[in-house]
Amino acid sequence: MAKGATKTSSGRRRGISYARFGYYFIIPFFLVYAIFSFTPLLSTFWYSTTNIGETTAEFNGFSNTVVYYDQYLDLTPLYTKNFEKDVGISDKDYSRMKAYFSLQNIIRDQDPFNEEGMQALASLTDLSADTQKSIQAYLSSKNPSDLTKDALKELADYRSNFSALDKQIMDQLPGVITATTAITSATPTEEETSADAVTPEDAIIEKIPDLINELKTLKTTDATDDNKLAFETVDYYATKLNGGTAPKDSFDFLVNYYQGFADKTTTIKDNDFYTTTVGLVAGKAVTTNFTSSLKDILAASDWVALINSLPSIASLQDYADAAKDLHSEQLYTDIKTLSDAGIIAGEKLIEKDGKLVVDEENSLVPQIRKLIDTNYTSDPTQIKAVAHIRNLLAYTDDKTFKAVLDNVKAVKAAGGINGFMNFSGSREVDTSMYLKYKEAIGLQDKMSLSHYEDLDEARKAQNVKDAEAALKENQKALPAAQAEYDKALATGDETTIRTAKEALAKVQTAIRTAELTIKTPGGILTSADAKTSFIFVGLQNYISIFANTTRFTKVFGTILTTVIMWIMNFVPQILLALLLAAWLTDSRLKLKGLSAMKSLIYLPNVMTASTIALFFYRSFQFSTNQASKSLAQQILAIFGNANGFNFFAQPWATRSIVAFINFWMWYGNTMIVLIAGISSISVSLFESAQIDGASSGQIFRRITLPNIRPIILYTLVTALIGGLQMYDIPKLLANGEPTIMFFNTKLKSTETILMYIQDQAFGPKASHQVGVAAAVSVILFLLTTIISGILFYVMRDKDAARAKKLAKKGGVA
Amino acid sequence: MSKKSLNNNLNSRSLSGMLAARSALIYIVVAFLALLSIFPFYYMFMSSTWTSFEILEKLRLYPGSLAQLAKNIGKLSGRSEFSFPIGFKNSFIITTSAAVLSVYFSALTAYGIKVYQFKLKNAAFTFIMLVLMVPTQVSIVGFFKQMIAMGLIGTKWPLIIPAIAAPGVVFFIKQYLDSALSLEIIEASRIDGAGEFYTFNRICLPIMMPAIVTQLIFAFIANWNNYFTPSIILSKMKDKTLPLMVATLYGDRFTDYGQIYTGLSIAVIPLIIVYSILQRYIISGVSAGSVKE
Repeated sequence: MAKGATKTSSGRRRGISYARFGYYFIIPFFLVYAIFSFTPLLSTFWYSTTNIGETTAEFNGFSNTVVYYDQYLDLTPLYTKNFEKDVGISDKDYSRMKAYFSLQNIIRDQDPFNEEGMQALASLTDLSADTQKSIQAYLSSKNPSDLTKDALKELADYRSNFSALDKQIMDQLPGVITATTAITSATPTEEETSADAVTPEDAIIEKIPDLINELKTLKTTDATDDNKLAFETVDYYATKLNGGTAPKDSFDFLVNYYQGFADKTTTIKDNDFYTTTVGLVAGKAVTTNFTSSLKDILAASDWVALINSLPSIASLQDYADAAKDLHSEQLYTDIKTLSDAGIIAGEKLIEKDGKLVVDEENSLVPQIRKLIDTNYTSDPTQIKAVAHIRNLLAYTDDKTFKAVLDNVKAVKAAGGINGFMNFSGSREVDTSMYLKYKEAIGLQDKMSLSHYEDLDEARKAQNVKDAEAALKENQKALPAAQAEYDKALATGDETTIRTAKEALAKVQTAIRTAELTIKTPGGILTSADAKTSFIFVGLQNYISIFANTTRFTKVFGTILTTVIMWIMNFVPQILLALLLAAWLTDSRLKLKGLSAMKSLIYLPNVMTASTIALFFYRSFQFSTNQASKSLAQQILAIFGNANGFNFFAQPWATRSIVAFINFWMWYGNTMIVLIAGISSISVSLFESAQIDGASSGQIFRRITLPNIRPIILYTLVTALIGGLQMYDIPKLLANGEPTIMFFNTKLKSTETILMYIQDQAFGPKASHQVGVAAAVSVILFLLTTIISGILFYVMRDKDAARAKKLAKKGGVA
Repeated sequence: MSKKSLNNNLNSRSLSGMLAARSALIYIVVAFLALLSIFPFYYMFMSSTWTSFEILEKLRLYPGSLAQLAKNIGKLSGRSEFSFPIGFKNSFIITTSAAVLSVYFSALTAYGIKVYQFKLKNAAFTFIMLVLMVPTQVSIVGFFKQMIAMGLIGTKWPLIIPAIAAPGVVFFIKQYLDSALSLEIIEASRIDGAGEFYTFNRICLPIMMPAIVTQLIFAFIANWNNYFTPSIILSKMKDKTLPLMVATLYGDRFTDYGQIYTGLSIAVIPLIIVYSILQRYIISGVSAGSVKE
């Protein structure tokens, strides 16, 4: 005792110098945690209250700042007259720099020298020797000019003569992309229309009677060769609207149909109304044409939402580039939906045996159907090559590209602009190469950040000067405007008052603007920075989650989906784990090979979830072809179900697979945790119960369960927290498919909350949704915190005891 | 007396019969579950020795030809976006560095909190306990933007360095230290003139070994299997980890099942080897992690 005391006191004497080691030892942890976990968490909170602008610069690290400014500073509009004099950079140099970026953009968008595509080209054996040589030359030198004109021409011919179903479909997809992006990227113009103006809807409804009259006239006209098509068109659309069966009188049917719109009993915001009218006009049955304004209305009302809800539309370019399998039911459904809505013409009509029918050969929708149904495949490399030729030609034919190349002829001596360009299809500007280019064309000094900063200062000073002048002028004008307004008020004439008021407001606004400019003048860097700046929007993102019905349904639908799939896996998981734990800990049974049992049952938990998900995805695929069946179909066939079952077409079946995988991967873990819990119960409790003659069931219910209750709760809470982060398995199993309707919103039936966040933040529309993604993350964070709080509450007794012990120890030392 | 003993005898006989029946039931159920655990991997391995056509034709649960396996591997290595050597190399570098850093620095942190008396000691431990349950995924938006700003996107650093701060590992090792480390050893070492870091590295680290090995295995497996963060940080083929490579087998234009199952097999083989060697530690590690004595 005495010895111990001296030791402690000596330790304490020197302990003063040791205390700092405590900080040294824990500093790495806290430093790294602060940088890589805590700051991101806080900035996620911050992002959840912001929105970012429309354009995002490809800003890649600090080293890239100069490239960023060079690329995004649009100096031209600021210094139009004396560009060279004001900026110190010659027009020619400036356009060279611009040329570099426009070429880079072309490369980025169309990726003409994609390695994989060029390799595919090289594998085409039926090209002429010269062309093959030319491609090989490019592959070894990576210099586009090695591709000769003749070679490109031959490739173009090869492509136009190549006809396979895959290619025909791929060729039509860019058109679909153009049509859909035109709708989704159009910004609605919010013009204020005065009350008495005719709304576009009314304008259309006004024209409907004309259309009806035309139909009536056509009905009474005799059929001739000239108007045969018109009659057929009327028949075709009447049959289509009637659900596939021909109505008694097509004309009466259509007249009736249109009358509904004219009487405003049916809304004209209807896709069928649009497609029918377009069809009638195209078939020359009517000439009254309001389809373009109707299209505008539909595009503004629900087409954007429709297109955004179609999962495969975002990856259409991949389908067109042969990077994704065209044998996709999803692609078919989505294209069909677009076609049915009238956004694209996916089912062209032709005359056949005196009837109008869908052109099965040349229309996109039936082509995809045929491709899937017949398991159509042509040589994959060939298809890849053909897809690649399109990009290659688009690039070399492009006038912009030629102009760009002309612009940079001056640098030919240094190896041409090509030598400074990364042709790998990379999405980033290669910083070092760009800097070399800049040096080669002698812009190194003229275009530098410090120079930009000088320009920025000058611009700011100029702005302040202008603002001061404007301020002076407007302040001078203010009393006059005020007096004018007072005078107008006295006359009481409304028009005069309004004019005077407007004039006064204009002066006041000008003063305010000028004052603001003097306070915070904008320079040229401000405008470039603004492109990626995060604008504080307060709680708008959160409000939008709750106020926007679609978004609300999506967010809480994905949370619900996550919880549903978690429950589907956890309930059987804990039950089986409990049963196994009770069995394997029963000492009376004297089971052999316990550790082997445990390790076999635990095995799936160690495996990579993405691998497992992919295995199940491949094993549960569905094919109508009897000769090629997936694992699941083969097993079902053994049990007498020869047709199999398309799991990934059924929301609940897909959810069940996700739940099963999670169950299968985790019940072993839960079992071992429970076994550990049971093992820590005092053996004497079990023994005395056995002596008292308790049955196994009684022992389990009365002794085991109450004793491992905290462990079960611990398992429940940790599993729930883990379950809320579910991502790998649903993502790689079916990518959230199939879709279901949930409160009138199209929802992916296995999309979890984390997948939604990932999609919003890093998905195709990334630049617009980061704020929302962050807001949903914060909601997820709160959910997790609440659940963790419950955990701490449950475990609190133990921790409190430990803390007390700790405090006691600390007090002694 | 004799009646009672007979009764007892009968009871015990029926009891032992019941126990035997129950044991048999348990063996059957566990055998079925074990089969369920193994089957997917068995099927993957078998399928990697068949052609796509043969796999889809009927259920083949026996090996095909090695020549076909070689062909499948050949085709797989011909794919532009799947390369086992590159994936394995990247996974190995990231996983090993992250696991070692994670365990070493966690041991350091736990040791610092356990051994030294300093003002913020309790606050630091409470903080670690608090952040234990915050999943990294919720801050992914901020993390990604910050990695862009630091110019680390596409590099391995965002997947390695954050491993230094692993609250769970710190907590586990701290628990272990509470029961296994006596401060006398440190005192003795100090008296012998050893520096603090020397004491930690040479004397206390070996004492912590059991906990460290367990955590090293878990950190290794967790990092090896990680998909979410790498999928956001890494985009170039040459940087991708094995799970990301495997994920490219998902979207495939012309489905070759032989190739796919070969790819999946190749991806799970390292884990199966590691697991079969270390399963004992892994299972005792799971037990130790759940029960706090």
